[in-house]
Amino acid sequence: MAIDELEVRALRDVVLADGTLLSELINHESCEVDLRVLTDPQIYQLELDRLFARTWIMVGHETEIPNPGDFVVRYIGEDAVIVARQPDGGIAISLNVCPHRGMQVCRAEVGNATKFKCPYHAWVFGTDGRFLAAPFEQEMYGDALDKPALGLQQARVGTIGGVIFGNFDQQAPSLREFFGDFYWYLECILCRTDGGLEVLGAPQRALIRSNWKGPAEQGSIDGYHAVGLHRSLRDLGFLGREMTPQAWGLISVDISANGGGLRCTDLRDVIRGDLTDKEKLEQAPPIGLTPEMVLQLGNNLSPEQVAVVANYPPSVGQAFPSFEFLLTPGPLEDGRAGPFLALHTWVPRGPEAFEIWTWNLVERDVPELTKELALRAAIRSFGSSGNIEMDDGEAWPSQTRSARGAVGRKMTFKYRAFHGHNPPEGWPGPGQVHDGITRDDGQWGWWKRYFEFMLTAEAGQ
Amino acid sequence: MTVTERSIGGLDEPTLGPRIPYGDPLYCAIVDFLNEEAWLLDHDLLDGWVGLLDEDIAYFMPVRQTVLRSAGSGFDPRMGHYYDDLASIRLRVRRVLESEFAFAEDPPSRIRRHVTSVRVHRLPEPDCYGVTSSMLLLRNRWDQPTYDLVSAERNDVLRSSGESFKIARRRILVDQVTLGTPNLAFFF
Repeated sequence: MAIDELEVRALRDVVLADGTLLSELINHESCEVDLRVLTDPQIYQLELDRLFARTWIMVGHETEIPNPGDFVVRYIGEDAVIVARQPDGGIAISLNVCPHRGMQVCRAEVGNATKFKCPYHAWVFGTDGRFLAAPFEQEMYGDALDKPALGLQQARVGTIGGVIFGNFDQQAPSLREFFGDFYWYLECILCRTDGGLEVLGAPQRALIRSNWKGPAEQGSIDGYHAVGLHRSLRDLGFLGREMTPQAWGLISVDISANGGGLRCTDLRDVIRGDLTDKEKLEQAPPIGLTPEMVLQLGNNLSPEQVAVVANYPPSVGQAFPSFEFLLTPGPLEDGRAGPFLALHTWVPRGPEAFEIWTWNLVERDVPELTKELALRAAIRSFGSSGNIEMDDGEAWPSQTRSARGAVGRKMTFKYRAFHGHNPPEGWPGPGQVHDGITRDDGQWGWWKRYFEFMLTAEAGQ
Repeated sequence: MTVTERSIGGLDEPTLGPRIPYGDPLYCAIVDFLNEEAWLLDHDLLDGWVGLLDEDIAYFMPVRQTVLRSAGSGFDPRMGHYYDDLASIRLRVRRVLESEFAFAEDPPSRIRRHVTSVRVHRLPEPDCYGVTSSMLLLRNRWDQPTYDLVSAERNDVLRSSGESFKIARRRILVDQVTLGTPNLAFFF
């Protein structure tokens, strides 16, 4: 056993109910993970503590709460949180649990409020979670209330491109440090224009009877499954006209960093190499940008990021642990297009269920008709009625059912195909870069970071 | 194929004319139409079902959020679980009927649609009717003994078409904020 593995065990391994060590469920030599991680209730509880309460979890987008007092209720793990716009334009994320007796103080999922009053004993809190008042406070408590300690528990807030993340670990690194090299690529998706992104309405939610790691393992980033699970797209003429990796969309430049994975479309054979990046972008505006918006890329991204967007535009992927993004050209049945950005988060609901949340976004400054077409394309592609994603909802629950059996749970996720770091010449970005057929590097990276969190009780990574 | 430029979404309601009561031949004809439609869907006769849709159908199932009583119904005017027109519905049907790889409904679920509480109103446009109905949909999948339930109100606009009707608009107002079924690989 390697020294670093012994160190990991020494940090904080966990003995599961049958005596198995948690660390034994990942095999670093053969690159396998036991299916047991999908159904073991002890592991699930540990995830709530060690992963969801310590990492940056996506809870929404700033354009859902544009005005002071606007709020939505969302989830960090199984903890309900109030995400509220402050009078100064900032955002607060408060645990939706009254510190007095534990009732949820906010009972609508969306609205506008100047304060939150717990229905139980009418304690009152500000939209920033601060304790404001309790009825008959003097008669009841005299001076005994330690008011600063009785506010709603606060999560830290981080945003990128208007996407809001919360983290209950006060010692955790910042959102930027946590995403690390992956942050650079997230900016290429989320921070392209002067006007920024806007949501097209409230998110979809559906309960899927699968462990949340079904989609999370796929998210970072399994390009290979298209050839199996999304084979109906061949019959509809969208994919796989020939049985070649190219025709199935499997050739790309993939990135893995900090447990995240994303795919970048390789335009080297599509667009003339002797053009400047600016000329390339004008000839083929990136997905979701109007030709006029192309110039804004330089206002918001570094020249190196612009070069990646021009030559290898990032498209789909996931930031660790559970924030997925799908930037999609949005082809429609009538030949038009409604390009959109779909965002997902996987909200755990016990070992064998999760909620899939789906937001659809566009650049705020695209024409209204484009937004209408984006809605059409987005809802028909991903989420609850998405022609593509519906079939993913068959794979994930199936994996979880497989992991119920005494024999099945000892089966493994297997990762056998790796590029390692093999970037195209002159690649200007950070992270591990994988040029060619989409392989397992990103997904294995997701598991490595997952076990880093699960095998340490200390803050931060 | 004509594709409408108007938004498929929105929560505006048509101006309802007089209600057509139970027992009226027109009421009976519309209930008969809805029963026939549910039968086609329950029996996976999707081509027949598509034949009941008008060329300009707007098929919208808005997402919903829990809001205080004072804030209304919680339906979102833009974002939907469904946001479809005839072309996209035809594509969905083609996927189910022509691909061996539409796994979300193959093997198919057993689905039963119960249509009740039908209310019919005349609309200002001639030969158009505003029809609301309740639908309780039970979906049984794999060997599970339990059902996924979807309960919803349907707000339809029906147009007379020869001896029968065409569905010009369907809005599916679901009673769940979080759908209790993993996907909507079926129609309402």
